[in-house]
Amino acid sequence: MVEVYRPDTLEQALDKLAVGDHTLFSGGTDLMVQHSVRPGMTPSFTHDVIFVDAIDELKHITQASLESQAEGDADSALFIGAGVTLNEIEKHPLVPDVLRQSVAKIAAPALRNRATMAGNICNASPAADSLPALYLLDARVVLSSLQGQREMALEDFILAPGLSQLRQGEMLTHVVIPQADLPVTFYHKVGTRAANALTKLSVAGLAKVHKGRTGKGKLVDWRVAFGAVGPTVVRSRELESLVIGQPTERLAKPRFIDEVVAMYSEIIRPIDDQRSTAEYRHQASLNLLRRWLSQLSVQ
Amino acid sequence: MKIEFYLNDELVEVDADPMQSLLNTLRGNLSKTATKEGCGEGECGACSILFNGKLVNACMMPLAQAEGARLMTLEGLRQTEKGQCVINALLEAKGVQCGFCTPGMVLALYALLEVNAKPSEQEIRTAISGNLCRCTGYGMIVDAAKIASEKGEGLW
Repeated sequence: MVEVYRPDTLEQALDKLAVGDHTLFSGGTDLMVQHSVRPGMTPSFTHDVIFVDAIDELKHITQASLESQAEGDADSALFIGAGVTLNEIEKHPLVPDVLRQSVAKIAAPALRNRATMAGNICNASPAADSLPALYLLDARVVLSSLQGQREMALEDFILAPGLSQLRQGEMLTHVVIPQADLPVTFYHKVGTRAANALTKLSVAGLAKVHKGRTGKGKLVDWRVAFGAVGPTVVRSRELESLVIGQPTERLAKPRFIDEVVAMYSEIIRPIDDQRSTAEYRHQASLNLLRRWLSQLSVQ
Repeated sequence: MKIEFYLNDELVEVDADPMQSLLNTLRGNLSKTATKEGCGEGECGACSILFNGKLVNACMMPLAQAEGARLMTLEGLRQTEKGQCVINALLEAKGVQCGFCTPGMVLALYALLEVNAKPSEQEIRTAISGNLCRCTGYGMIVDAAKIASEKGEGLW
């Protein structure tokens, strides 16, 4: 039988985490299934368990100013604690829509009352539903250990399926979402059914349209990310830059959309697995990209 | 490991493996068998209970996390006016057939009505989206939610 600890401060948790191998346990909705033996039996954990669900300081969503080291000015950002549940994120008015929509599609209400976004991130699953939105929002993660804190971009943190930059003795304590003015949102998850379905593929988009004096719109920002179609989320700033700056009326032109879709076709390289086929994932991703672009032509 | 929590407003102490699921604790250690085991992996909702007022899957929560918490199962909820309101609505709408999903459904509908006294059809369907029923059909369970909302006016 493994030892369990359930500290109520982060300091105690990090202290315990510093020595030996441990399993960090927050909502546990994946861990309990991963370690299950058979019905009626207690799940079999290999490492001692540190529960982090009683740590109050990790349960908040707060807005705070962010010291930008490069320019020295202070931008605002949203700090989401590792103990915040998916349901709390879904209901929080300050959380960007694209993220709220994404977490609302994970499993079902009872699971979202326990599961955390930090857990969804640390699993580093290619099909993790919070990730495409977080990549689009340029989210960063704060990693804490007894030695101190480090912060990095989420897309650098996630290395491969199931693999992140998290070191032994370290835990993800906060997700930082820089404030961004991106009012147009697109999110579509393709799964077998509306609830409780793991993702076959998902597409998330964000944009800002500027209306000129003539009433014509121009895309001052445009982003798109694809989930479950590669080892990690697919987002290309290079391809995005080809769309940014375009007048929205160009998006009504099939030729322009075809060109963009053709370029994304090259970088979306999914695989076959039990949930879907590579061919379906590829085609459906591009169809949704087409929908996201056409939707903006009327802005 | 000894763990204390409130079950249906009564303080209980359980001495068991802290990683044992709350579902097995309820059924095995405390003989409260209204809560069912269906899939054992959070997909079916047969093990739904209220944990500090929130709907959770008891199969996916270890006992250790219950320390000091308030748990409510169908055994407790049926003693309350609101619980009776949901149960009677399910009976009236003929929303019970084999009954295996019913304890979870009662808890899920109660959790919905507690935060939303007049839910729309879509909100009802979302609220029970984690509760699988394989024989009654969801239509009658959705009807039950509407009946509970109407008949329980002022209660919620």
